[in-house]
Amino acid sequence: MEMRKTFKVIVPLVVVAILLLSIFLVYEYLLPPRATQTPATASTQELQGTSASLTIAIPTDLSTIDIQFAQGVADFEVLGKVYESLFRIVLDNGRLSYVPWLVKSYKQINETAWLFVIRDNVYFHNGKRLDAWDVKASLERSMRISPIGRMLLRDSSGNPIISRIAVLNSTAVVLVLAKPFTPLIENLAHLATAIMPRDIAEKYWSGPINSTADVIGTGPFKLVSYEKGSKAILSRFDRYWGNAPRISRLTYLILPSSSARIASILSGSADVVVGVSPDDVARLKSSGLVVYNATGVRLVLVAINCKRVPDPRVRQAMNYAVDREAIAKNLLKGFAVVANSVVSPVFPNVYTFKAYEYNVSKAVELLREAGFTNKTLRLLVSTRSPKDVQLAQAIQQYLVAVGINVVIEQVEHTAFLKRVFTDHDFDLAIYGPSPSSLYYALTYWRTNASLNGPLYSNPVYDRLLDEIASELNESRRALLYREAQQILWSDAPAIWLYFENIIVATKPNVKGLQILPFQMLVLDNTTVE
Amino acid sequence: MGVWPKIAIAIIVAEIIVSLFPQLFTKYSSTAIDLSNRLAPPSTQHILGTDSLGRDVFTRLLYAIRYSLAVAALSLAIAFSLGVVLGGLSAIAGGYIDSALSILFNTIYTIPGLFTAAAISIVVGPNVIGASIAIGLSLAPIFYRFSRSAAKEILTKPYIEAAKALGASTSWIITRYIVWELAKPLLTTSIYLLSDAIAFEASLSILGLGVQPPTPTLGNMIAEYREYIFTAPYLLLAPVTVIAITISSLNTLANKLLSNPIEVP
Repeated sequence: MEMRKTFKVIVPLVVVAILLLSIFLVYEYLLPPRATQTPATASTQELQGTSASLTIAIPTDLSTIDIQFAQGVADFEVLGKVYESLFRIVLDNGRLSYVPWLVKSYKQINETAWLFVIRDNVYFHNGKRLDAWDVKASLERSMRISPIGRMLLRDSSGNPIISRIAVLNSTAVVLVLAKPFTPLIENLAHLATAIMPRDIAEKYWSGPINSTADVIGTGPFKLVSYEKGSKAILSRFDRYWGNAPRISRLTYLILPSSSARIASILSGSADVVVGVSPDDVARLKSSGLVVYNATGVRLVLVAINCKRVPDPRVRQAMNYAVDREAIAKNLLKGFAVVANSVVSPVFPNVYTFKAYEYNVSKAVELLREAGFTNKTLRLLVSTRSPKDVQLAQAIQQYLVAVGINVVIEQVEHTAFLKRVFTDHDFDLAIYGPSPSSLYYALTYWRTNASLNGPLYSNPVYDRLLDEIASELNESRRALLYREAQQILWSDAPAIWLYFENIIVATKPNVKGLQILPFQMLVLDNTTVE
Repeated sequence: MGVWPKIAIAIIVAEIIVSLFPQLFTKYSSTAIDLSNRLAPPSTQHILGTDSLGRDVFTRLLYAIRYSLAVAALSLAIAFSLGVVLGGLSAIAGGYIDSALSILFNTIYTIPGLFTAAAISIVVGPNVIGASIAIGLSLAPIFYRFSRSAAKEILTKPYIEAAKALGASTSWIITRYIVWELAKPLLTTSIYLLSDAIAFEASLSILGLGVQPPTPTLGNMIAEYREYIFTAPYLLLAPVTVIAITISSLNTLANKLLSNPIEVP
């Protein structure tokens, strides 16, 4: 009896306590921060003018601290502030171009020799001055061990494109090519060919840099510390050769959960949030935040394993079966551009084609023609992005509607990459490559290329890529580019879905932020008022 | 019987009915996508609104109860049969068999349950059967340890000695004494573990290792809706409330059984 009485008192108490606690939680975390609330630790001086600090919440962790081993968006975002390449990719009136950066001037001497004159006022973070020997060692290391550098600076049979790097004096190098290679400049703009001090390049000649003390570049920011899975802290490099950034301290918070990222900016602990879901835009705007919506190069696609689905008619049918307009308009709330090309139109020489319009009967007809009936395909999706899991369910429904049975399989991201790009053990897989140039994007689909997860192979396509590389005449090259893109488009080694917009939210006092289509923030002119 | 156990029983019976005949309570399909009607707030058409793919949340909840209960029940059956049979065998046989089985189950027991379940789920494959096997195997040591020690204790009781002296066969002793003595505590443990299994399923699904979408389970719904905690918080509320209510009901029922002895004939 005594027990029952106690029980009667405790239950209402617990209920009231839970209610109070939930009201408190809602008040504290879900409502926008009040204006009067200022962080106690930040001094007013710190928030002003030249010595401002900026905190950016990003969705993924770094996969490496070695720029030449960088693969993911986060690697380039963070390490791209520390390192620079000979050339830089800039966005100009909605189109990308490649401008000389650590290079003062350059000249093509003949078909296979290029002269580069390096700036003489560039210093590394360790105080050493950049010279031609650093350039030689960095490029040789990139060609030797960088996973992306090996793709950029080697030909289809794996031979280095640059056969010799001759140092003329401390600021001049000549790159001697094995054969004419027209995409050289755009590939030297990729951060996988970033320049590091010669002694560090030689110290890590056959493996990735493993100490933050050796993360030394020429970029506007120095790496101060990096805690795996938590954050990276950068500080302004005072001897930077270019325009000094106005941000003195840059912190990247690694927050994989999108709701945690939203909470971080609403609570005031982050100034900028990268990777905002279209569904959260309205809420962020109503909280007084500024939302940027930028064109992206990330082409979201459903790769089709060409060894398991060899008939192009079946792959075309899958393209007709999916209503990408509806996906872009509804699932992504219009924050996406339907893919009518195999590479984003922000790159020069990209051609747009007649869209695969949503046409169920055409898809069914093509499947019947190809004899592809009563088949079950497994659709692999990474658990890293909840949006991809939603997309998988939409794709499943569209394919079921034309008679292809689809089973979804979610796997952890590392396992996903291995299944797709190493083991090629999948039927369909959702992912989105973010290339740095048109030529590089097209090489993904070359026979046996390391990013050719779907094992697409077309000898005509491969030959066209070789011809593009050696064609010096610009208008003839443009035609070859067009032909290659046309082949890829109709061979359809993937369901071409859409180009994802990049959505970034900032506090209203963050000004002058520029966003590159690779989901990369340019902080050159960014200020915190 | 107090009011709480009655409510608990009512809730569990209601959930069982729902999981057997979900289609009686809704006119929608649990997987049909309607992209033009995403994240609609609760209305008379969709009483819990629609989710990120335009599916009716109430319908998904009904089917989620079905699949979550099915996984929980199947995994409990696996855990029960493995644990109780092998536990009893250990106690009766003794010797090497007992040592070998004890080492095996104690090893599984020392590894955190979710970790075991995740590892098994990767091997077996993520679907209803895979998730059930994973959860079942990680819960089996609890049944094993319990039934082994309980059976051992019963075997040393004087009345067993007496029965043996009177010439009772081993099978008679097992059915007449061990099974009956163990029935009630095993039932209580089962109900407790059933709520564990439901929570386990949710955890596995949040990690992406449980039943795969588009099949709804309570865990899958939480995994999907947590992304919308700021834009549509009510989405998350539905599966979370159902899990909380189900687990409390099961625990209330188990507590009731524990405090009221059942007479063993």
